[in-house]
Amino acid sequence: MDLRLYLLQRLASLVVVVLGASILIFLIMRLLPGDPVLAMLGFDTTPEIVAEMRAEMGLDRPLIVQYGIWLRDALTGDLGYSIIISASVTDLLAARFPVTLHLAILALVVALAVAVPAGVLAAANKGRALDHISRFAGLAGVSMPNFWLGLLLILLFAVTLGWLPVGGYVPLGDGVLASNASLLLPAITLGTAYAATIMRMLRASMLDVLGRDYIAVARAFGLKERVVIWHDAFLNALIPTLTVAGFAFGYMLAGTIIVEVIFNIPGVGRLLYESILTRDYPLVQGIVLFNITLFVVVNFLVDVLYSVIDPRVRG
Amino acid sequence: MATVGPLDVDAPPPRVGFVRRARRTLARDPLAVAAMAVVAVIVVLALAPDLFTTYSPIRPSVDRLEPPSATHLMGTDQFGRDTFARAVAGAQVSLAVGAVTVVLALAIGVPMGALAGYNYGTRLDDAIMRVMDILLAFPPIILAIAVIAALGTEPLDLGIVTVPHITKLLFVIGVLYAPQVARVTRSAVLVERNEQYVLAEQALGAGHGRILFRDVLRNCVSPVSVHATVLVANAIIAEASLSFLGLGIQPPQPSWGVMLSDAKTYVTSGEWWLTVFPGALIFLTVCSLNIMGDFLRDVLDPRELTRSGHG
Repeated sequence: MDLRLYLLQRLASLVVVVLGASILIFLIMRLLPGDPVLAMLGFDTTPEIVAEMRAEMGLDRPLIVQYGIWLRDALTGDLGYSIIISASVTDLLAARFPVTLHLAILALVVALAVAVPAGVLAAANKGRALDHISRFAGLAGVSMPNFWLGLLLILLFAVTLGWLPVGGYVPLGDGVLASNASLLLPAITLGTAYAATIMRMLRASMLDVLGRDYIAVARAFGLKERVVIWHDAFLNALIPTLTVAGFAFGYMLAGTIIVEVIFNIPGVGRLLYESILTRDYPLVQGIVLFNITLFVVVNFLVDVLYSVIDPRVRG
Repeated sequence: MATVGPLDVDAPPPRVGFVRRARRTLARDPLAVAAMAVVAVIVVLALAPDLFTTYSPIRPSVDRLEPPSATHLMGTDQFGRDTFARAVAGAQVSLAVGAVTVVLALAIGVPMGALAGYNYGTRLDDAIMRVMDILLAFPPIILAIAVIAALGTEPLDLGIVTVPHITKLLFVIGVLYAPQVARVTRSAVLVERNEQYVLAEQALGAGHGRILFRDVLRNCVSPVSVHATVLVANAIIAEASLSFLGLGIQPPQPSWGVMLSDAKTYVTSGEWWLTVFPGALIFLTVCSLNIMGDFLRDVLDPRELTRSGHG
């Protein structure tokens, strides 16, 4: 298939998914029992004030019109206002997102730093002890709930050894090293499950490549095993692995809530947590839409990159 | 299966030797044996808690924050409640959540996926899979957080009935995992629908409903049950995550997620047992279920699994 046609198709499905998500979020927030106006005003109010507030918020209009207005505003970057913190949802997101992005990037770096050597070594030593150890470690990594891992890391590295801070975030402006150090434990917590996934993928694609004829030829030519593994096999196994890493990055960006809560990091996840606790519905709605859109867009970009590198996936 | 004499030659071979194959695989896989033992112990603990502990998981006592000892195997928490008793009660919650949500996900996902696969390429298939694709496009846990955040954690008054929070929780997690089940079922049905026995039954005039739900689905049990095992593990993590965030099981009712959420406060002050034990139980349970999923995959017909894309 032509690259342009493929991209158009993928873009169309991206739009459908985001629109579907927006309808879903809108319906969840509007149709569920519980009146947002009453929640905002409290129960100590008069029917007149409630009616006035409803009209002001457009809640007295047909649902489809409400959705249209909400979508139009969202498309122009207006996600509404927080009820509790008097600020626009967009401004709050803009202030918090860089922290979450920093965390997710560091988590991806940690995940790759563990997964790449582990995956390659496991494949190179297939069936031997190292392979079994990495298989078990991978299984453990996937099964480890991140909230437990986070607490264990705090217990070990912050409380017992005192090497790293218990939580909090040092902004990048206050020193790159200190900033990254403040995010190291959270990044390990966030990255571990994905390190396991990426490692499994890399091992599988390495084994696939190592079984090909040209590897046998390379060996027959007397190339050193190290060169065969890292130069011939690894570089070819890299593409599917990077795709998985790309999807993992999307998951990490959208799924920081637990890690940010444990380590007290002022990012989007913690903002979502606080908005849920304070029942700040417009904020919850805005953050969820933002997270889902972000996730879908990252997936789209990974797909596009992959299809540019490897034309076979365009089908 | 329609008994039509000679045509039965084309029917897939009956799955004889499952037990023998399982036993042979088990002998080579000590990890799977250990995993089954762990799950068995947790199930026994959950079914008969009184055999193992006499402490109440909910009633406070004056023995606050005591470290593990002979009287309190896993120590006590900030209200003097026995951590082991709470962990056992938590096992009940986790297993119940795992089982009920997966049954729900199967009850929704299997018919959806079966209908889509059997009617491959039709509008019905398109319609079902587009909706599933939208749901599959996001991480289930984010959707779960959004839905529960909107629903609130109090019982939901629907006029006729009042829905307790735990029912909401089970429903939300179950529905969110249904699309995955639908996708797996659909690809398994896609393989089966072109088999000779289906064509034979169609030629003999058997109804589509009978063919699909009596015969085709019976041959899709393998891939679906492998996926269901992994889903139980995922559902347990999902409940624990929601409870950890205060959106799942509500205190004082214990759950492993709730216990870890409480432990968060004491992690810096040295009460390590509050963190270590409940987390270890989640980890062991989930890890064992994942190992059992791998094991089932090895034992059940590998040919069929590979063909449906889950090899």
